[in-house]
Amino acid sequence: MNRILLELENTGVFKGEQTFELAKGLNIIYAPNASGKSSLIAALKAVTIPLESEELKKVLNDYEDSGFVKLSIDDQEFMVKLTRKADGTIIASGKVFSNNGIVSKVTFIDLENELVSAIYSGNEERTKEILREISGVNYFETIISVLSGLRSEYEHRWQIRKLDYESRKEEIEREEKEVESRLQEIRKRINEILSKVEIEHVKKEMEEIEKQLKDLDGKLSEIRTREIEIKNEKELKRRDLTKINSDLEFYYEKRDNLLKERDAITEKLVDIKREIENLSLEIKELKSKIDKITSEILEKDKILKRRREVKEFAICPYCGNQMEKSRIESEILKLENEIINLRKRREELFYEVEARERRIKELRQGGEERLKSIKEELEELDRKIGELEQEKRKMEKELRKLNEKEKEKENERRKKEEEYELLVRRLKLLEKEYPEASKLVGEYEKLKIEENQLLERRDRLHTRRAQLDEIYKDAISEQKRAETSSLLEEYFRIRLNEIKKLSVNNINEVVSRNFKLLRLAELEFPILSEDFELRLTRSGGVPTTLTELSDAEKAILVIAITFSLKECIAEDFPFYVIDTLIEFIDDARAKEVLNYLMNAAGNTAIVVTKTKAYSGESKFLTQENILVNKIPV
Amino acid sequence: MSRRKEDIIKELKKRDIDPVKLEKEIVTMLRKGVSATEISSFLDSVIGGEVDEQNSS
Repeated sequence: MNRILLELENTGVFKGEQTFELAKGLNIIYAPNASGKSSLIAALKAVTIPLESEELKKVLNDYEDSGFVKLSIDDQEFMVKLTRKADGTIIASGKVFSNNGIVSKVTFIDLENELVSAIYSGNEERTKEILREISGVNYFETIISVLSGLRSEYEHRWQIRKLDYESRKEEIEREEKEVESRLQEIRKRINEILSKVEIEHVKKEMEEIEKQLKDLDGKLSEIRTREIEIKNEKELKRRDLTKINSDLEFYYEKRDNLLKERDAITEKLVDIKREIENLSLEIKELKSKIDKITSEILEKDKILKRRREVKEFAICPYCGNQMEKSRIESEILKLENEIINLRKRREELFYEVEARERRIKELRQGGEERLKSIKEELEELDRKIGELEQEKRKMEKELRKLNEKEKEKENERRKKEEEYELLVRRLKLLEKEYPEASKLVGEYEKLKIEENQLLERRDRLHTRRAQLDEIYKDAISEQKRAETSSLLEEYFRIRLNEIKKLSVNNINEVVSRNFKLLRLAELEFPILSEDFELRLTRSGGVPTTLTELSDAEKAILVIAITFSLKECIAEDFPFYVIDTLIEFIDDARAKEVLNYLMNAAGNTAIVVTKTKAYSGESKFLTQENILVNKIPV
Repeated sequence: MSRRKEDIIKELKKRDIDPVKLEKEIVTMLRKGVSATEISSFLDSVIGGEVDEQNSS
């Protein structure tokens, strides 16, 4: 790490762009109050670790809406852009040096640092908590507590499944025992029965009869089924036949009616013809009247037209004198009325012609035309009747066949029933003839049935056993989980102790290396107990507490602890920053602290702010205010 | 490393869990602010064999 460049735009008190160069070793920002020391530290913080919105407010200049911080370490670049949103919140985007939030707790030592606050307020418990958090011990405690919870869960589930498995297993085993013992009893008894010679022939015969009865039962059942099928088929055919008969009846009736109608029309046909002739004659006469009236109207129209033409200057054709106008007008009126009347009359005659024509049409429709249509209808009806009658004959034939089949099956059934009856009788006779033997055979058969039932029950028990295996597997898997979680818990407990010891030892060791610093606070080593408790001892061995320390001693203690912790947990982080705190230490000891840090810096850039006395000239800090490896007098 | 710790690591590896890798993974998760409930469900899946801890990246 040779070159550290910090470029700023609109950050803190600075407006516009500023560039500062830092170096490894001690960098003291030596400037008066309000010159931008803390602004520079805030900008450095923003580009090295992720900050909350509230902290970002301190980074961007209050009067600007955007800005940036760019950090270049040799050839590495990190940049954060800052933007003020409409609601006043600041958002940062870009790449920061480290994403580990813990780093800031040991590298940026200012009055807002949690550890600094805890030590300054004398809160040893809180100090212990922060130290545990920084070392990561609380993470391990969280993991252990989670694992312990999981282990309890697994163990509980394991116990439940185990109990379930055991109770089911017990039940199945008991049932299996019962079944096996009963099976043994049954088989023993069957063997006893079978060993009796006297029942052998009875058993054989009874078995034979029962076999035949069983066969007959099957056959009878088949026959009955067939009988039902035939009956159903017959019923369907009957229904179809009824439908055909009803259709036929309808068509017969329709045909009769049509024939009657045809006869009636044929009888009336002469009268109809005569009426049509008369009507035709009447129409002819009426039409001639219409023609006559039409020519009369035309004639009168002509006269009317002439009268209208000569109305003003008419001269008598006989005497040659001027004719009276009123006389012509009365003639015109008379002619007009006559024409109207003639037209009315002609209209009436048209109606009369139409009425007669309508009547002729009706008579024709009811006569010859109707006869023609009746003939067509009759032909169609005859065709339909023919088809239905053929269908009817076919149906009747099928029904007859079904009746025959039904009878056949009935006879067959009766025959089988008789055979069945005979066999039953033979069985009863056998039982009467050999009462003891038949009793034993009856018992044997019952035992056989029970044996089959028990075998089925045994199969079901085997299935249940297979299901039980699944429960067992589940229980074993829960047990395995419980064991695994227990192993993990133990591993993390070991790791917790290791980390505790390691962290405390490391911190104490580094603190011992920085013993000089500790002595400046007049404190002895070691400083932390195994449980991260501060063990403060004054030089000379007198125990003390945080509250008893002066502000300067507290500042030196904070620097000693955080500088040591940084070495332990953030060795690669390139900065260690002390803001304001150095002011609490008197000049003599502050000089020694700074000297110590300068010598111990190594590759780290230690940045310390120190207030310079006000010179009467107010200006923002510049590169000149950064003293590298130089302690101001 | 203690004998007991070695034995535990060996036994856990037999169960397809690398505790060292798991430790790093969980501590990183906790550092990122993951809740204890999420850690619990993650560990449950690791213990249940749903996550192959040995081969996971």
